[in-house]
Order: sequence, then structure tokens, then C-alpha cells
Amino acid sequence: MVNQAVVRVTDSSLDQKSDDVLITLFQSGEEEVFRFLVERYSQRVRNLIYSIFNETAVVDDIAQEVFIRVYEALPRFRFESSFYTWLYRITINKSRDELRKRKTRKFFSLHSMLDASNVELQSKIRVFPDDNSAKELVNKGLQQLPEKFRIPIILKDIDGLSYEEMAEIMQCEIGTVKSRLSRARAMLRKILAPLLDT
Amino acid sequence: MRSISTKELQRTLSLYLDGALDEEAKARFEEYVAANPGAASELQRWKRQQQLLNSKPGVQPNEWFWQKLSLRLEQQKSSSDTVYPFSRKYAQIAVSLAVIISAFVGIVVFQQRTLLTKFFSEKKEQVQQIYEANILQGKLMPLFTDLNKDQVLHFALFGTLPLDPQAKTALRVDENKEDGTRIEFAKNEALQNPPVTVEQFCREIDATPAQYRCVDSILSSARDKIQESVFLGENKSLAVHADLATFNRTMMSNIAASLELPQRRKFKRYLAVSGSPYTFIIAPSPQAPAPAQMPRIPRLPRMEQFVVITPDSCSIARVNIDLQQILRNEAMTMQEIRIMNERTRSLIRDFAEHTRGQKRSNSSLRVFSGSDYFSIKVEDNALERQPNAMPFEVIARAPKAVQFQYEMHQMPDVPKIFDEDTELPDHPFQNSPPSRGDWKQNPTQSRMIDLDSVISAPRDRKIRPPSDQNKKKYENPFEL
Repeated sequence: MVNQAVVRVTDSSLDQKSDDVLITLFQSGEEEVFRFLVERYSQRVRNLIYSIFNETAVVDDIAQEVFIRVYEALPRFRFESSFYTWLYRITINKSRDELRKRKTRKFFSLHSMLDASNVELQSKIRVFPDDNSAKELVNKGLQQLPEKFRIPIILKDIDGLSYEEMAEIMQCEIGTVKSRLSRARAMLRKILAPLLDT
Repeated sequence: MRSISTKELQRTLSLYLDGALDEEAKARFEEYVAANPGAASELQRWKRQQQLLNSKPGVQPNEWFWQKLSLRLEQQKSSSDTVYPFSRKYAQIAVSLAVIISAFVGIVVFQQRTLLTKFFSEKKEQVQQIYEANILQGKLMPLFTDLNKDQVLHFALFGTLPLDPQAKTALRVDENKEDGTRIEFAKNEALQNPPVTVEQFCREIDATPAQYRCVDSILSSARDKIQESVFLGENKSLAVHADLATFNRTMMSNIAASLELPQRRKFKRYLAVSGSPYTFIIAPSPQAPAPAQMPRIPRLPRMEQFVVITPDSCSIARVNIDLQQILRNEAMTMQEIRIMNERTRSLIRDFAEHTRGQKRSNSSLRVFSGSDYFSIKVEDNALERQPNAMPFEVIARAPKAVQFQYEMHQMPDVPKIFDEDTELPDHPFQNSPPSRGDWKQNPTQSRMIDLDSVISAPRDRKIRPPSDQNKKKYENPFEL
């Protein structure tokens, strides 16, 4: 727990301060320090959202909603977890909300779209892709995974989080994390089989 | 290592790639992979998949992200500050709760409407009582204190009591109007009616001595009633007894009842000739109760209904006015003045006795005294005065000092200033306005032309004017 004593510091030194110090300053009324937290984590949040949706158009909108939610909830932050796991959890929840909305909106055409994208994906994979197009195909393969399996593989293989951090973000047991991660990798392996088998 | 299922292989591969296997499990798995080419190739594919994911490019950085976010934060802040006292996501819940609470309150109010009506009626009554109890706070004075019987008779015959003969203002009552009774303080042309005296009235109707005494008694009682019916408050308020409007007709009915038939006919003729707005007839029903002597306005103090007029309100209030207490207070004030005068005379005597034969001509502060006076003289240099303290010099208007006779004890060379016959200043009634009843004696003071002046004019009069006997007594308060 950081010391609650508030010391007004200069902007240049704020950039070097830990998350807990910045949050303590924010909670004591120095709301301008929120900018440093945003600048420190905005790109990681944006990348996570991009990995989940693979659409640049929605990244900033959802990222802004995430940070607005953080801004509203930060006065009640109790330092029981690290800031970035808390931030990731909010990001995952917001992304799930968006995915749920999309699912509702596209209920009737969902299966046909998936089928169409699958056909397109399979056709592209079979044509010996170069390195760039291979990464793009991996992105599209990730989108084929259900959200329940997509998020663990993103958190682990892209963001490099530990099982404990993942369990905290996903709010489940470590065993569940391992199980989902294993199944997710196997599913992605199956989707990317034409690419990986060459 | 034994053969393992595909599912178990996938799970072990995943843990192996993450480095989550313990040393023993890791060694057994590596042994299995070495012995099993299929598992080895599968491990290579999983590793490549992990490399592809790990090298996956992220989204392009947005340099304007903070600017856009801060703008949205400002908008969010202002909208939540101005519209809702809570987070916007709770708005629907709040509306639902409000509807439920409103419905519940509505049902309760409907079910308890009788009790609620009773409760609010009682509260309203309490508020009304408090208002009535406070509407006439402060010093009260009766407006009519020195009415004579001729004026009371005029009120009975014509319904008017004169206030200011020059401005022709009067208190006028009337019950003949279809819209109820009226009590007015206004200009009244009826004042042009010739003043009537009790003697003249009794001569006109050929009243016997007994009837004269009876009429005189009625007018005397009526005078007291009128005195108890109109009050002026200190807060520029006017309280008029609600029954004053019918009081003159009650008087006339009582006068008619005290007369025999011949005098009653003459009385009726007199009313017609003199221009009175009233006449009388015999009550149609013999069973009708005979009018009691002044039944409508009982003796005070009691909670009586008064019409109370203030500069910003007009209402009927049930108030308690004790005229006798008011008069007693005035008498006490007079008594206090007597005591103060006696003390002043005593001081003069003691001072004269103490300073007899002494001479203090060198002092800048000199006091002269006799058996019934003392005079204080202060030299100009005795006090420290700042120059030009006043913008104008104030001097006496009289060209010659009034001489005052007294016996000199200390300073025989000092000229006489006052004369014994000169009226001493500052006696208690020097600046008091005359009573409304004195308008005949002092017409110059009667300049009221509207209700506001009627209300405001007597406010300065704190003490009841003395009778002629008392006036003589207090014109020279130092008289021993």
C-alpha cells in the first residue's frame, strides 16, 4: 500500500512515478495525473482491443470507453490488484459487451458470415502466403475462435501474461485458464493447419 | 513413455510451451517427443503458431488519443454534472423507483384522505390562529376616545362618524348594500348634514324627561361601544369590529323602542326631513325577540372578530383587545410622569438649599437655582468643540429673549432670562397630536384625506391626551 500522503510533484517527475503513486495523487484530487496513466497504457489497451476485434475502426472508441470507465472508477480503486490487470479486466469486459452487441445485431446473418469468411480464409491459406499475409491470416484465424477461447490465447501468446494474471483478468481459476488456453491453441492449430503444415 | 491421447498431448504441449511443466514431467515429455516423430512435428507446429502470434503486429499508435479522450471526459463530466445527480446508467432505475414511490404515495394518500384533510385543516386553523394573534402586535390605541353624545347620535342617525371636518372625511357604515355591510374611511358628502345635538333631537321629537334620560343612556352606552370597536395598531394597522356596520341601526332601534307612539312618529318624520338614510318599521313577527341593549358588541376583553387592515393585507381576525388595560397603561404612564416631576422639584429644592449663599462666578459651568427652578449655564470655553462641526449655524428665531422671573441667590448680576408666566418647554403633551375627537377644537390638525393618512397619522400619539383638568395640572409641572 502506498503512502497516502500527497506530495505535489512536477510533470517531468510524474512520468517516472509508479502506477500506485499516480493513482494516489489522482485520488487526492490531482486529476491531471490521469494523463500519465493513459499515455502509459493506452497503446497496450488499443493492441488488446485490436487483437480481439481485428478492426482498427473500433479500437479508439472502445479504448476511450475503457479509460472513461477507469476515470470514473479510479477514485474507488483499493490497490488489491495491480493497476494494469484491473485495466485489462475492464478492457476485456468492454470488449465482451461490444461482442455481445454485435452478436445481437447480426444474429440472423451470423452463420452465413462465418461460413463465408471460413471459405475465404481457407482459399487464401492454400495459396502459399508470404510472411505479411501469414500474420494477417493468423489475425483472421483468431477471429474464428469463440470469444471464450480467443481472449486467453491473446493474453498469453500476444501479451505474454502469466497464468495468475490471466486468472485475475478473466476472473476464473488457474486450472480453467490452462484448460481454455490448451483448447484455444488446438482450435487455432486446426484452423491454421494449411499454413502450419506447409 | 506410454502412448497418450490427442487431448492429453495438446494439454501437455500447451504447458510445455509455457514452461509450466515441472522438471520430471518435462523430461518425460521430451523423452516421448524424441521417441515419437508425430509428436515432435506437432510440437514444431505449435511453436511456429506461437511465434506467429507473438510477432503479430499491433495497431498503429494514435498520437491524438489523449486529446480525444480528454474531450470526451470533459463532455462526460459536464453532462453528468448538469443532468443527473448519479451515474447515467442508473437513470432508468431511478425513474422506475420514482414511479413506484409515486404510485405508493398516491395510494396511501387516497386511502388516508379523510385523515389528511383533517390534519391539514387543523394545521391551517393553527396557522390562522397564530396569524391572528400576531397581526396586531405592538401598541394599540382606540381611534375614538373623546366622542361626545352628539357625535354618537349623528352616527346612529346617519351612519357616519366625522374624522376631519375640513377634508370631509369620516368613518361610514352601511348595511343597505346588497353586497353586504360596509365600513369605509373616506370622504363623505353626508357630513354636509347639519350637526345634531341630543337636546335638539329630543326637542324635535317632543321627548319627555324620562325619554330624554333613556336616549341619553343609550347614547352613553353606545359611546363606550364605539370606543371599543376601532383601534389603530403600531404597525400601521387598523382594526374595526366586524359588527360595527350594524351598530348604528341597533342604536336607532333601541331609541325607537324607548319612545311612545307620538314621539316615534315624530322620530320617523325627523329621519325623513333630516335626510337620514334610515327609517324604521314595527317588527313583522310578534314572536321576534326584542332587540337587547347593544347585543352585537359585548364587553371586552373577549376574543372578538375584527376586520384588520394593514398596508399589505386585509383579513378578519379573532383578536383579544383589552381597552381597559390600554387605558390603565396610559394612566400608569401619567403617574410615572407625576413621579418624575416630583423628583425634579425635590432636586431643585435640595440644590437650592445646598448652594444657598455660595458664589461660583469663576467657574465656566454655573448653576443657578431657586425654590422652583434651576438653570445650567455653560461658557463657550468650557467644552472642547471642533470648529466647523456643523455646516450651518443654528440661531434662535426670537429676536428677544423671554424673561423669566426668579429670585437670584448666587449671581445677582446675571440678567433675568425667563418669565414665570412663560410656558415651560417639553411638557408631556406639547407635541402630541390632538385626538380625533378634538377635531372641533383643533381643526388645523385634521388634514386626513385618505385611508393611509387615517392609519398613519395617530401613530406618533403614544399617550392619551389629558382631560382639561389634567392639562391645567401639567402645564406647569414644576408647580409645588
